[in-house]
Amino acid sequence: MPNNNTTIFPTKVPRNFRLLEELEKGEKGIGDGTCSYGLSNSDDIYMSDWNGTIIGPGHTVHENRIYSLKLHCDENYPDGPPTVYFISRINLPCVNQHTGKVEPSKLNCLANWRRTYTLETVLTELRREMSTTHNRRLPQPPEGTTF
Amino acid sequence: MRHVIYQRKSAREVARDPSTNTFLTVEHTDKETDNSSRNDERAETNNFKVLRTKSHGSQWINSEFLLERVTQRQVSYFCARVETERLLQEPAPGISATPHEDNLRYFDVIIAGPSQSPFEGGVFNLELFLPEDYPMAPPKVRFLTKIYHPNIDKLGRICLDILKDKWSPALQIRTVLLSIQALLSAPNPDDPLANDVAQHWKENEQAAIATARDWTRSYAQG
Repeated sequence: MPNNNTTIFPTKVPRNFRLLEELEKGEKGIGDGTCSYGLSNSDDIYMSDWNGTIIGPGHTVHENRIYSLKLHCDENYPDGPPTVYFISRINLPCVNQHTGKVEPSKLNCLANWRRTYTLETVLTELRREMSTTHNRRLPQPPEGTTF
Repeated sequence: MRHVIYQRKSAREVARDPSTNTFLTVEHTDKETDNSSRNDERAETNNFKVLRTKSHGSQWINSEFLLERVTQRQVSYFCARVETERLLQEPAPGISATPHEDNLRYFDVIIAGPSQSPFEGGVFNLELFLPEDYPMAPPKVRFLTKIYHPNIDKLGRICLDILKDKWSPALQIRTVLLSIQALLSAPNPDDPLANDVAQHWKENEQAAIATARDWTRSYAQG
Protein backbone atom coordinates (compact mmCIF):
# COMPACT_ATOMS: atom_id res chain seq x y z
CA MET A 1 0.00 0.00 0.00
CA PRO A 2 2.68 2.59 0.80
CA ASN A 3 4.15 2.20 -2.63
CA ASN A 4 0.81 2.96 -4.21
CA ASN A 5 0.68 6.29 -2.47
CA THR A 6 3.07 7.96 -4.81
CA THR A 7 1.50 6.49 -7.92
CA ILE A 8 -1.90 7.95 -7.12
CA PHE A 9 -0.22 11.21 -6.27
CA PRO A 10 1.97 12.10 -9.20
CA THR A 11 3.57 15.47 -9.62
CA LYS A 12 1.89 17.17 -12.51
CA VAL A 13 2.80 20.82 -12.82
CA PRO A 14 -0.43 22.73 -13.54
CA ARG A 15 -0.72 24.84 -16.68
CA ASN A 16 -0.25 28.24 -15.05
CA PHE A 17 2.82 27.28 -13.04
CA ARG A 18 4.30 25.60 -16.08
CA LEU A 19 3.76 28.76 -18.14
CA LEU A 20 5.31 30.87 -15.35
CA GLU A 21 8.40 28.64 -15.54
CA GLU A 22 8.51 29.10 -19.30
CA LEU A 23 8.09 32.85 -18.92
CA GLU A 24 10.94 33.07 -16.44
CA LYS A 25 13.15 30.98 -18.70
CA GLY A 26 12.23 33.13 -21.69
CA GLU A 27 13.01 36.33 -19.77
CA LYS A 28 16.50 35.05 -18.97
CA GLY A 29 17.08 34.20 -22.64
CA ILE A 30 17.13 30.75 -24.13
CA GLY A 31 19.94 28.93 -25.88
CA ASP A 32 22.01 30.97 -28.32
CA GLY A 33 19.34 33.67 -28.76
CA THR A 34 18.19 32.46 -32.18
CA CYS A 35 14.70 31.81 -30.80
CA SER A 36 12.94 33.90 -28.19
CA TYR A 37 9.47 34.38 -26.82
CA GLY A 38 7.54 36.50 -24.33
CA LEU A 39 4.02 37.37 -23.24
CA SER A 40 2.02 39.53 -25.67
CA ASN A 41 0.50 41.43 -22.74
CA SER A 42 2.54 41.67 -19.57
CA ASP A 43 -0.62 41.61 -17.43
CA ASP A 44 -2.26 38.60 -19.11
CA ILE A 45 -2.90 36.68 -15.90
CA TYR A 46 -3.67 33.43 -17.76
CA MET A 47 -0.62 33.80 -19.99
CA SER A 48 -2.47 32.69 -23.12
CA ASP A 49 -0.92 34.83 -25.85
CA TRP A 50 2.76 34.88 -26.64
CA ASN A 51 5.02 36.49 -29.21
CA GLY A 52 7.84 34.46 -30.65
CA THR A 53 10.84 35.40 -32.73
CA ILE A 54 13.05 33.17 -34.85
CA ILE A 55 16.26 34.37 -36.45
CA GLY A 56 16.67 32.58 -39.78
CA PRO A 57 19.48 30.03 -39.80
CA GLY A 58 22.69 30.87 -41.65
CA HIS A 59 23.57 29.43 -45.10
CA THR A 60 19.89 29.23 -46.04
CA VAL A 61 17.48 31.60 -47.80
CA HIS A 62 16.33 32.60 -44.32
CA GLU A 63 19.71 33.96 -43.24
CA ASN A 64 19.49 37.32 -41.45
CA ARG A 65 15.69 37.33 -41.59
CA ILE A 66 13.76 37.85 -38.36
CA TYR A 67 10.47 36.00 -38.22
CA SER A 68 7.68 37.04 -35.84
CA LEU A 69 5.13 34.52 -34.61
CA LYS A 70 2.08 34.39 -32.40
CA LEU A 71 1.55 31.44 -30.10
CA HIS A 72 -1.64 30.73 -28.20
CA CYS A 73 -1.79 28.40 -25.18
CA ASP A 74 -5.37 27.39 -24.44
CA GLU A 75 -6.60 25.89 -21.19
CA ASN A 76 -5.44 22.41 -22.25
CA TYR A 77 -1.83 23.46 -22.55
CA PRO A 78 0.60 21.74 -21.86
CA ASP A 79 -1.51 18.58 -22.20
CA GLY A 80 -2.27 19.82 -25.70
CA PRO A 81 -0.04 21.81 -28.05
CA PRO A 82 -0.18 25.59 -28.55
CA THR A 83 -1.57 27.01 -31.78
CA VAL A 84 1.10 28.77 -33.75
CA TYR A 85 0.90 31.44 -36.47
CA PHE A 86 3.63 33.15 -38.41
CA ILE A 87 3.08 36.90 -38.62
CA SER A 88 6.01 37.37 -41.01
CA ARG A 89 5.40 35.81 -44.39
CA ILE A 90 7.35 32.62 -44.94
CA ASN A 91 7.23 29.80 -47.44
CA LEU A 92 7.49 26.51 -45.58
CA PRO A 93 5.50 23.30 -46.19
CA CYS A 94 4.13 23.31 -42.64
CA VAL A 95 2.85 26.90 -42.87
CA ASN A 96 -0.56 27.66 -44.37
CA GLN A 97 0.15 30.19 -47.13
CA HIS A 98 -3.14 32.04 -46.63
CA THR A 99 -3.25 32.39 -42.86
CA GLY A 100 0.31 31.83 -41.63
CA LYS A 101 -0.92 29.03 -39.39
CA VAL A 102 1.56 26.27 -38.64
CA GLU A 103 -0.42 23.15 -39.57
CA PRO A 104 -0.25 20.85 -36.54
CA SER A 105 -0.31 17.74 -38.74
CA LYS A 106 2.76 18.92 -40.64
CA LEU A 107 5.09 19.73 -37.75
CA ASN A 108 6.30 16.72 -35.82
CA CYS A 109 6.34 18.26 -32.35
CA LEU A 110 2.75 19.52 -32.71
CA ALA A 111 1.46 16.30 -34.27
CA ASN A 112 3.10 14.15 -31.59
CA TRP A 113 2.80 16.59 -28.74
CA ARG A 114 4.07 15.59 -25.29
CA ARG A 115 3.54 17.34 -21.99
CA THR A 116 7.27 17.94 -21.62
CA TYR A 117 7.39 20.01 -24.82
CA THR A 118 7.47 23.77 -24.47
CA LEU A 119 7.10 26.91 -26.59
CA GLU A 120 10.87 26.70 -26.99
CA THR A 121 10.51 23.18 -28.46
CA VAL A 122 8.13 24.51 -31.12
CA LEU A 123 10.26 27.52 -32.06
CA THR A 124 13.44 25.47 -32.21
CA GLU A 125 11.81 22.83 -34.39
CA LEU A 126 10.44 25.50 -36.76
CA ARG A 127 13.93 26.95 -37.06
CA ARG A 128 15.27 23.49 -37.81
CA GLU A 129 12.60 23.13 -40.52
CA MET A 130 14.01 26.23 -42.22
CA SER A 131 17.35 24.53 -42.72
CA THR A 132 16.33 21.07 -43.90
CA THR A 133 17.72 20.09 -47.31
CA HIS A 134 14.26 20.42 -48.83
CA ASN A 135 13.44 23.80 -47.30
CA ARG A 136 16.69 25.72 -47.17
CA ARG A 137 16.48 26.93 -50.80
CA LEU A 138 12.69 27.42 -51.12
CA PRO A 139 11.85 30.77 -52.76
CA GLN A 140 10.69 33.23 -50.12
CA PRO A 141 8.33 36.20 -50.16
CA PRO A 142 9.96 39.65 -49.83
CA GLU A 143 11.45 40.32 -46.45
CA GLY A 144 9.25 42.28 -44.06
CA THR A 145 5.89 41.19 -45.52
CA THR A 146 3.21 39.82 -43.22
CA PHE A 147 0.28 37.41 -43.43
CA MET B 1 20.71 17.02 8.42
CA ARG B 2 17.51 16.69 10.36
CA HIS B 3 14.24 18.21 9.23
CA VAL B 4 11.18 18.65 11.34
CA ILE B 5 8.57 18.26 8.70
CA TYR B 6 5.35 18.74 10.45
CA GLN B 7 4.22 20.24 13.72
CA ARG B 8 0.70 19.95 14.95
CA LYS B 9 0.77 21.41 18.42
CA SER B 10 0.47 24.99 19.52
CA ALA B 11 3.45 26.56 21.26
CA ARG B 12 1.71 26.25 24.64
CA GLU B 13 1.05 22.56 24.24
CA VAL B 14 4.63 22.03 23.15
CA ALA B 15 5.88 23.81 26.27
CA ARG B 16 3.76 21.47 28.38
CA ASP B 17 4.89 18.31 26.67
CA PRO B 18 7.76 18.71 24.22
CA SER B 19 7.48 15.10 23.04
CA THR B 20 4.14 15.73 21.36
CA ASN B 21 5.51 18.51 19.25
CA THR B 22 6.64 16.64 16.23
CA PHE B 23 4.35 14.86 13.89
CA LEU B 24 6.97 13.62 11.53
CA THR B 25 10.70 14.05 11.81
CA VAL B 26 12.88 12.77 9.07
CA GLU B 27 16.60 12.63 8.77
CA HIS B 28 18.26 13.37 5.52
CA THR B 29 20.73 10.52 5.13
CA ASP B 30 22.29 11.81 2.00
CA LYS B 31 25.74 10.51 2.98
CA GLU B 32 24.71 6.94 2.25
CA THR B 33 24.17 7.77 -1.37
CA ASP B 34 27.19 7.81 -3.59
CA ASN B 35 27.24 10.16 -6.52
CA SER B 36 27.19 7.52 -9.20
CA SER B 37 23.81 6.17 -8.15
CA ARG B 38 22.29 9.43 -6.93
CA ASN B 39 19.68 9.51 -9.62
CA ASP B 40 18.39 5.99 -9.57
CA GLU B 41 15.30 4.96 -7.70
CA ARG B 42 17.11 2.85 -5.10
CA ALA B 43 19.45 5.67 -4.15
CA GLU B 44 16.46 7.92 -3.70
CA THR B 45 14.85 5.57 -1.21
CA ASN B 46 17.85 5.98 1.06
CA ASN B 47 17.60 9.70 1.30
CA PHE B 48 15.25 9.91 4.25
CA LYS B 49 14.76 8.01 7.39
CA VAL B 50 11.76 8.60 9.62
CA LEU B 51 12.87 9.14 13.20
CA ARG B 52 9.69 9.87 15.04
CA THR B 53 6.01 10.02 14.19
CA LYS B 54 2.65 10.80 15.68
CA SER B 55 -0.41 9.83 13.78
CA HIS B 56 -3.08 11.49 15.93
CA GLY B 57 -5.70 9.11 14.71
CA SER B 58 -5.46 9.97 11.04
CA GLN B 59 -6.47 6.64 9.60
CA TRP B 60 -4.69 6.76 6.32
CA ILE B 61 -1.28 6.76 7.96
CA ASN B 62 0.38 3.40 7.82
CA SER B 63 2.66 3.24 10.83
CA GLU B 64 4.67 0.37 9.45
CA PHE B 65 5.48 2.48 6.46
CA LEU B 66 6.51 5.33 8.69
CA LEU B 67 9.14 3.20 10.37
CA GLU B 68 10.75 2.40 7.07
CA ARG B 69 13.09 4.48 5.10
CA VAL B 70 11.07 6.66 2.82
CA THR B 71 11.66 8.52 -0.38
CA GLN B 72 11.51 12.23 -0.78
CA ARG B 73 8.38 11.73 -2.87
CA GLN B 74 6.73 9.85 -0.02
CA VAL B 75 7.66 12.55 2.48
CA SER B 76 6.27 15.07 0.04
CA TYR B 77 3.09 13.05 -0.34
CA PHE B 78 2.70 12.78 3.41
CA CYS B 79 3.10 16.42 4.16
CA ALA B 80 0.66 17.35 1.44
CA ARG B 81 -1.93 14.85 2.66
CA VAL B 82 -1.63 15.77 6.32
CA GLU B 83 -1.73 19.47 5.61
CA THR B 84 -4.65 19.20 3.21
CA GLU B 85 -6.67 17.23 5.70
CA ARG B 86 -5.95 19.74 8.39
CA LEU B 87 -6.70 22.74 6.20
CA LEU B 88 -10.08 21.27 5.33
CA GLN B 89 -10.90 20.33 8.92
CA GLU B 90 -9.64 23.44 10.67
CA PRO B 91 -9.55 26.25 8.14
CA ALA B 92 -7.68 29.42 9.11
CA PRO B 93 -9.90 32.50 9.48
CA GLY B 94 -10.39 34.28 6.16
CA ILE B 95 -8.54 31.60 4.22
CA SER B 96 -9.70 28.57 2.29
CA ALA B 97 -7.64 26.10 0.27
CA THR B 98 -9.26 23.35 -1.77
CA PRO B 99 -7.25 20.76 -3.66
CA HIS B 100 -8.18 19.98 -7.26
CA GLU B 101 -9.77 16.55 -7.62
CA ASP B 102 -7.46 15.58 -10.45
CA ASN B 103 -4.31 17.05 -8.92
CA LEU B 104 -3.96 16.88 -5.16
CA ARG B 105 -0.86 19.08 -5.22
CA TYR B 106 -2.79 21.94 -6.80
CA PHE B 107 -5.06 24.13 -4.66
CA ASP B 108 -7.63 26.82 -5.29
CA VAL B 109 -7.09 29.35 -2.55
CA ILE B 110 -9.31 32.19 -1.40
CA ILE B 111 -8.03 34.87 0.96
CA ALA B 112 -10.34 37.54 2.36
CA GLY B 113 -8.80 41.00 2.43
CA PRO B 114 -7.82 41.75 6.05
CA SER B 115 -9.87 44.35 7.91
CA GLN B 116 -8.31 47.79 8.24
CA SER B 117 -6.30 47.23 5.09
CA PRO B 118 -7.04 48.69 1.65
CA PHE B 119 -8.04 45.16 0.67
CA GLU B 120 -10.85 44.90 3.24
CA GLY B 121 -14.06 43.59 1.71
CA GLY B 122 -12.19 41.97 -1.17
CA VAL B 123 -12.12 38.27 -1.97
CA PHE B 124 -8.85 37.27 -3.57
CA ASN B 125 -8.37 34.11 -5.59
CA LEU B 126 -4.97 32.49 -5.60
CA GLU B 127 -3.51 29.22 -6.82
CA LEU B 128 -0.97 27.12 -4.96
CA PHE B 129 1.12 24.20 -6.14
CA LEU B 130 3.29 21.83 -4.12
CA PRO B 131 6.31 20.95 -6.26
CA GLU B 132 7.76 17.47 -6.22
CA ASP B 133 10.46 18.39 -3.69
CA TYR B 134 8.00 20.00 -1.26
CA PRO B 135 8.53 20.44 1.69
CA MET B 136 12.24 20.72 0.95
CA ALA B 137 11.29 23.43 -1.55
CA PRO B 138 8.58 26.05 -0.93
CA PRO B 139 5.10 25.87 -2.45
CA LYS B 140 4.48 28.01 -5.51
CA VAL B 141 1.72 30.56 -5.01
CA ARG B 142 0.28 33.43 -7.01
CA PHE B 143 -2.73 35.74 -7.06
CA LEU B 144 -5.29 35.27 -9.82
CA THR B 145 -7.26 38.33 -8.75
CA LYS B 146 -5.78 41.65 -9.81
CA ILE B 147 -4.38 43.48 -6.79
CA TYR B 148 -2.63 46.81 -6.28
CA HIS B 149 0.18 45.94 -3.90
CA PRO B 150 3.91 46.76 -4.00
CA ASN B 151 4.97 43.15 -3.38
CA ILE B 152 2.67 41.54 -5.94
CA ASP B 153 3.27 41.95 -9.66
CA LYS B 154 0.92 42.09 -12.66
CA LEU B 155 0.98 38.32 -13.02
CA GLY B 156 0.13 37.82 -9.35
CA ARG B 157 3.61 36.71 -8.36
CA ILE B 158 4.39 37.39 -4.73
CA CYS B 159 7.61 38.76 -3.25
CA LEU B 160 7.79 37.11 0.15
CA ASP B 161 11.00 35.86 1.75
CA ILE B 162 9.54 32.57 3.04
CA LEU B 163 8.56 31.67 -0.53
CA LYS B 164 12.20 32.05 -1.52
CA ASP B 165 15.43 32.01 0.49
CA LYS B 166 13.75 32.02 3.92
CA TRP B 167 11.76 28.86 3.25
CA SER B 168 12.05 26.11 5.83
CA PRO B 169 10.57 22.61 5.65
CA ALA B 170 8.98 23.26 9.04
CA LEU B 171 6.69 25.81 7.41
CA GLN B 172 3.40 24.66 5.95
CA ILE B 173 0.70 25.65 3.49
CA ARG B 174 -1.18 27.24 6.36
CA THR B 175 1.84 29.31 7.45
CA VAL B 176 2.41 30.45 3.89
CA LEU B 177 -1.20 31.54 3.41
CA LEU B 178 -1.26 33.34 6.77
CA SER B 179 1.94 35.14 5.77
CA ILE B 180 0.36 36.22 2.50
CA GLN B 181 -2.69 37.47 4.40
CA ALA B 182 -0.32 39.39 6.71
CA LEU B 183 1.47 40.85 3.69
CA LEU B 184 -1.86 42.37 2.62
CA SER B 185 -2.05 44.15 5.97
CA ALA B 186 1.55 45.29 5.84
CA PRO B 187 2.75 46.15 2.32
CA ASN B 188 6.51 46.54 2.14
CA PRO B 189 7.44 49.09 -0.57
CA ASP B 190 11.14 48.77 0.32
CA ASP B 191 11.29 45.26 -1.09
CA PRO B 192 9.13 45.72 -4.17
CA LEU B 193 8.19 43.39 -6.97
CA ALA B 194 5.94 45.87 -8.74
CA ASN B 195 8.24 48.88 -9.00
CA ASP B 196 5.69 51.42 -10.16
CA VAL B 197 3.29 50.46 -7.36
CA ALA B 198 6.09 50.63 -4.76
CA GLN B 199 7.13 54.07 -5.97
CA HIS B 200 3.53 55.26 -5.73
CA TRP B 201 3.35 53.85 -2.20
CA LYS B 202 6.52 55.66 -1.14
CA GLU B 203 5.73 59.00 -2.77
CA ASN B 204 2.10 59.25 -1.79
CA GLU B 205 0.93 56.51 0.51
CA GLN B 206 -2.61 57.90 0.86
CA ALA B 207 -3.12 57.99 -2.90
CA ALA B 208 -1.66 54.51 -3.33
CA ILE B 209 -3.98 53.16 -0.65
CA ALA B 210 -6.92 54.82 -2.41
CA THR B 211 -5.95 53.11 -5.67
CA ALA B 212 -5.62 49.78 -3.84
CA ARG B 213 -9.17 50.32 -2.48
CA ASP B 214 -10.45 51.08 -5.96
CA TRP B 215 -8.87 47.95 -7.35
CA THR B 216 -10.31 45.90 -4.49
CA ARG B 217 -13.79 47.26 -5.36
CA SER B 218 -13.31 46.70 -9.09
CA TYR B 219 -11.64 43.31 -9.22
CA ALA B 220 -12.03 41.52 -5.88
CA GLN B 221 -15.76 41.34 -5.28
CA GLY B 222 -15.87 37.54 -5.40
